[in-house]
Amino acid sequence: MSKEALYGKTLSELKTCVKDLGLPAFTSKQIADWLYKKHVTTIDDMTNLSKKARTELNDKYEVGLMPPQSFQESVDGTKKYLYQTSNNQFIEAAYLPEDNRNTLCISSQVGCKMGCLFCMTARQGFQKNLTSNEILNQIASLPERDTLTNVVYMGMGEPMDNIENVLKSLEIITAEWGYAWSPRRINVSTIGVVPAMRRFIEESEAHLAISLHSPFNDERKQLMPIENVYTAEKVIEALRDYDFGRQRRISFEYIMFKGVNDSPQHVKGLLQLLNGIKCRVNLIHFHPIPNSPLEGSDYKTMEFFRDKLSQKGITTTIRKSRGEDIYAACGLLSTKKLIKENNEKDY
Amino acid sequence: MAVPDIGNSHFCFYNFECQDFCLLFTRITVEQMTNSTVFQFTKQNLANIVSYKIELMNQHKRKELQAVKVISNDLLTDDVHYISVEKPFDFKAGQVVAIAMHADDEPRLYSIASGINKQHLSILFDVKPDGELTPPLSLVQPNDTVYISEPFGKFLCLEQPATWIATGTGIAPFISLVESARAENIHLLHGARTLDKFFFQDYLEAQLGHNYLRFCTTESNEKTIAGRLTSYLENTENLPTDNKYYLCGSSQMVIDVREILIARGIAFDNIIAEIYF
Ligand SMILES: Cc1cc2nc3c(=O)[nH]c(=O)nc-3n(C[C@H](O)[C@H](O)[C@H](O)COP(=O)(O)OP(=O)(O)OC[C@H]3O[C@@H](n4cnc5c(N)ncnc54)[C@H](O)[C@@H]3O)c2cc1C
Ligand code: SF4
Repeated sequence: MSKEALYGKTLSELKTCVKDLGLPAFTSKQIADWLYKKHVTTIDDMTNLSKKARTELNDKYEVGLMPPQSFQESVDGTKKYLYQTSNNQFIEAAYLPEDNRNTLCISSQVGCKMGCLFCMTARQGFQKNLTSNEILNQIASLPERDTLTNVVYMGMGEPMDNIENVLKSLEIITAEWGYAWSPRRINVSTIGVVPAMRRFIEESEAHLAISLHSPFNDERKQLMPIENVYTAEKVIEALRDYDFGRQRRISFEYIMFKGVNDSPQHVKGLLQLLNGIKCRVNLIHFHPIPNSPLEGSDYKTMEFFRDKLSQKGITTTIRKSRGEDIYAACGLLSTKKLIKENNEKDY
Repeated sequence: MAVPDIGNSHFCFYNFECQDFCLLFTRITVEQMTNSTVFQFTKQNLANIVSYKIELMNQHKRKELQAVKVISNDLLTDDVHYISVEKPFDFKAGQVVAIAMHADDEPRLYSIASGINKQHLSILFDVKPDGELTPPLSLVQPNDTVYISEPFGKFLCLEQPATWIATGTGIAPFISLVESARAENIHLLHGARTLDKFFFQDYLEAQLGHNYLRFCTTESNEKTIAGRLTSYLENTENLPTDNKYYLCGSSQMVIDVREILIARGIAFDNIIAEIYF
């Protein structure tokens, strides 16, 4: 029987574990320390725990860290790591080194249910929610772990569709007893699943990035089915209910598709939609995916778009395209190792 | 709501008003509060703050949900129910409502499966055995209370001529549209695993005649087409390229069908999907 992982448990969960084993209460804090500050890989490495405590923990638990299975490196230094999850599935994390920041883009689900037209992850369907262990393992088992300055939840999956585990992982990253990172080093993306997004805003302090891709309802629906349920307008309305303070950042991600969402009318539409929201906009170049009806806008159009938005007071940047040769753009990660259960289908 | 008694805690040093302080705590987890070295609370202070925090969050949910009486609960197949409740508001065909058993529960979304002029509002759902809502929802009786949100959503399928494509309970919004007399120039394609999963087929057949096609993957009879809806879409010579295509059902169905339609020359901007995520 496989053992339960300790890595990924919050302090209060660790307290329950030690209580159930009849160990002294302070053991939980010691375990958290070994896990999240010292990143040990076995329970036997937790040397300030009594021998009895280690034996009892070993009977039921393991640390539960798994090194990546493989990686690919791009000419620009971007590295794409493949991690195995339970059920023998795979997720990807992309390490993006820059001059003075090293960012890891992590996944929150195996596959995704949201069906965005431009996304490779959507094509593989949904397999499972990652546990907080599997989310954090992408950070903890990364060879470059200690060089990381930032983490973005922009890999495979919609973080708000796995809100419990995402919040748990954020708690561990930011808590004093955990990694003790500032929440300002973390950015979580969403396509705008409003109820879970509200929870995220209320229960976390991390930055929020909303994938917009069009200011117009009819057009956004064609790109992102979520627009039928939670329109961009409703997402913005929800944001207006909160005071984000000076430190917390809201940004809008905008992938630019040639002839679709890159006209001057779109600039106007965006200005109208975002009116009064303190935010920034990131324009992203589209990496074409196989058999896609969409193409990326050229850089001239992107610069025009950026300048128009900037002139109207919205800080707008063109996100550098990274790892194109190994196909590692955040949100466009893909894994080929998939099995489709055709006989299960009802269509 | 009264602000909680937080005692003569260390926070006074920071000159917070009680109200501000509690609002601040809507952003901080219970764990962080308990372990705080900056703020020191008695157990009772903490309990008061925590319940205030929970109350604040629940207020938000409650504002969105209202109590309605159940009118009927019909079992259509072994695991699919059609439930009707009082209709406290008007809606547009194709919209959804959020439903919960209690005002403070996290609601789930359902397409409205009844016409806009019907006396009651109905939904069609299948029971997920490990699910939180559908097992208790499947047991409701007339006069029980459930909680629903105002209708919302934009899967209104306004453009015609159109092809509507559904699998499983994804037929729900299309039932509402047909019952709302919004199906003049449409074809409806429904895929299911077994013959008993073509919900409201007699009604749909009477309304749509030959424009209603049923695809069954494991059984067959004279009224259905044996095989996959996706095989039909791949092979049929009658696939109008200028129609609007409205898809409703599981994520995987939407992905597969959209890919086939695009490969067959349908423009992506003619394909609109509602996903039951
Ligand atoms: C826009 C929209 C419209 C919808 N319309 C309809 C409709 O008309 N009819 C309909 O039947 N459905 C519809 N749905 C789906 C519906 O909202 C619910 O998701 C569904 O009914 C299940 O609810 P539940 O509370 O019973 O299950 P949930 O508790 O939400 O669980 C869903 C599934 O996940 C599994 N699960 C739960 N927790 C975990 C976990 N921790 N780890 C792994 N697996 C887990 C459960 O076993 C279950 O199979 C719609 C969804 C959307 C987004
Ligand atoms: S873009 Fe994000 S939400 Fe949309 S399908 Fe891809 S992973 Fe899911």
